[in-house]
Amino acid sequence: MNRVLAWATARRAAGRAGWRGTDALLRGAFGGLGLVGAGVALHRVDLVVIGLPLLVSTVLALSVPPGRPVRVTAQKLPRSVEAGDSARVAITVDHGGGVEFTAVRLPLPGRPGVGPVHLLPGADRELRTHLRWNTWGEGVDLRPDHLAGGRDGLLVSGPVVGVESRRTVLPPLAPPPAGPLPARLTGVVGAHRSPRPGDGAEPRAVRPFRPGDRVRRIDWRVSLRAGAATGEALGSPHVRERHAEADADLVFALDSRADVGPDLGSWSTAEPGGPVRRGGSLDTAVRAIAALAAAHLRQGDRVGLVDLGRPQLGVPPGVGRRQLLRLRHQLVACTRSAGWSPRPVLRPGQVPAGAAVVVLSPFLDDAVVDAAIRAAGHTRLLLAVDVLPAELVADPETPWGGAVRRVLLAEHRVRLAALRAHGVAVVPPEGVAAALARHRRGRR
Amino acid sequence: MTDVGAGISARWLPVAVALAGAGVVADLWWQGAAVGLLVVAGALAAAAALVPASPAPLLLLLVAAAVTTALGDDPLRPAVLVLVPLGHAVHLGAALGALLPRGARLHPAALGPPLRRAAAVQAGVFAAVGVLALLPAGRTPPVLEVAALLSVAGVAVLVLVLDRSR
Repeated sequence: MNRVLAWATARRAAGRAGWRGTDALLRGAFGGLGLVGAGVALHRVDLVVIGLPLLVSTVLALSVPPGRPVRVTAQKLPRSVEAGDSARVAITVDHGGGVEFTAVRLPLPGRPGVGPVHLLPGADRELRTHLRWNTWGEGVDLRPDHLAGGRDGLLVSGPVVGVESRRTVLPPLAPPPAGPLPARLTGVVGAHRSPRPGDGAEPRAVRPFRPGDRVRRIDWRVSLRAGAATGEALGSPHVRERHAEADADLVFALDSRADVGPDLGSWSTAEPGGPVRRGGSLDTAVRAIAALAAAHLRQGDRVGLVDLGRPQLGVPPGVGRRQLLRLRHQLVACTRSAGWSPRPVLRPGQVPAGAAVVVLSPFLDDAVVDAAIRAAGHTRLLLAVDVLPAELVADPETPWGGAVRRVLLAEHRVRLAALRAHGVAVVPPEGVAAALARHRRGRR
Repeated sequence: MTDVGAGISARWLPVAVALAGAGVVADLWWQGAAVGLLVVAGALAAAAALVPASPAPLLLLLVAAAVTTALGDDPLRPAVLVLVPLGHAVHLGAALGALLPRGARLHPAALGPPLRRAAAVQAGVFAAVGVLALLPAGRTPPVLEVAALLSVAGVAVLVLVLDRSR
């Protein structure tokens, strides 16, 4: 009797803790009892035999009442990770016994997202799953929704929505060749040659000594030769002048208003699984900016970011590794709600004087061309980087697909021609460094 | 620490329920049930596989038991004995399938304890069937019948009272 009372007490506690019966409990209890009872009443042993397994298994299942409700906690992970990183996450399933199943939502190895629900043995209290972040962006990668089941799933607790674990996967840093940039006149330090005389390494000119020149700058060999030529020893000392070294400002202008892939039929639909299309124009632009920014920051340049769609998301030029981290985070923030701005904004105040500007856009409307041409008038150098996918595929579901593709490409060609006509160089993403190098050679 | 792998697709649970349900329907057909009853049983078996958290599995078992009782006199004939594990499989498969949403993954280790218990229950039931086969088939004394009915009613009341906390 004491055991029955203990069972009843535990069963009542389980009910208070949120455990409830399922259809299977009703089926087992009433179906089993009904068949056995009907068999006894009607003198039909076959009914008893058919109903007996349901009744016995239900009684056996209910004989172990579950304890307190299940709590699932996941190990803390960093808020931001690199694309391509992976980690093993420990998940603790805490319960008071009597749990035969736990159904936990966990990511599948090698697949993005929070994953499907896994039906696991209730005895497994320490789980470990593998997370791999292949695609940059922001999102939820772990949300351990869970449900616990008693024996035969006759009693359940849950489902409970798990705590979301959000993470920012930073855009990858591909190693592009870093090209030289036009020197900034106001700078006196950095890795680029300035047209001004200074204390750099590159020789600039040899000229006669003037008041104010440092004595250590005198080139004695040249001075002696000059004296020998004029006949007076040390008559006209000459100094060897060097170029100053200057840092350069590079501002990337990201057109986050459009994100298009090669398939024209998918342009009007959102990308499933994330805000950015893999291999689309925004993905290409962000990867190019991250790679170029890393290369230029490494050589001491100042790099900034302008979001043409939302000017408030821009990053003023800065230097160093923290600036690179800031830029990569901001690139993810820019793409979070991409495509919601009707007109691009590129004001003179967003670009420091003397900076080089690189506009990355698929150039699908005239407004961005106008903005780029206007900005080219007040910047030292403006490059237009066309990130429209090279091969556009017509929508096969409409007879107008081919015509739409031809019109789009023709308009795109006209826009690029207009940019070139106004002196703006149009280059592909992989040609930015070479274009900057050409510009520098032209300046020499 | 258990590494959670990919497991197998949980679609195998509805498939198992459907197979067991198809076995029940085949058993009824074997016994010579009418086409209409077979259609009803088939529809219930399909519903039990597709919507396990519904009355369909219970109705399938009740229909199968009723038809089996009506179609034969020998209570321990093979058609009845086949229905014992099939009915249990429908019940257990539907119970587990009702726990999982679409696209879920199933880890076979989770099925170990319920399958072992189901095997034990089946072994016990067939042991009881063996004992029944040895007993005389004559009429049971009325006192014993009343006692059996009271016992069943007592079990029902006990389950209801103890399960009130739900």
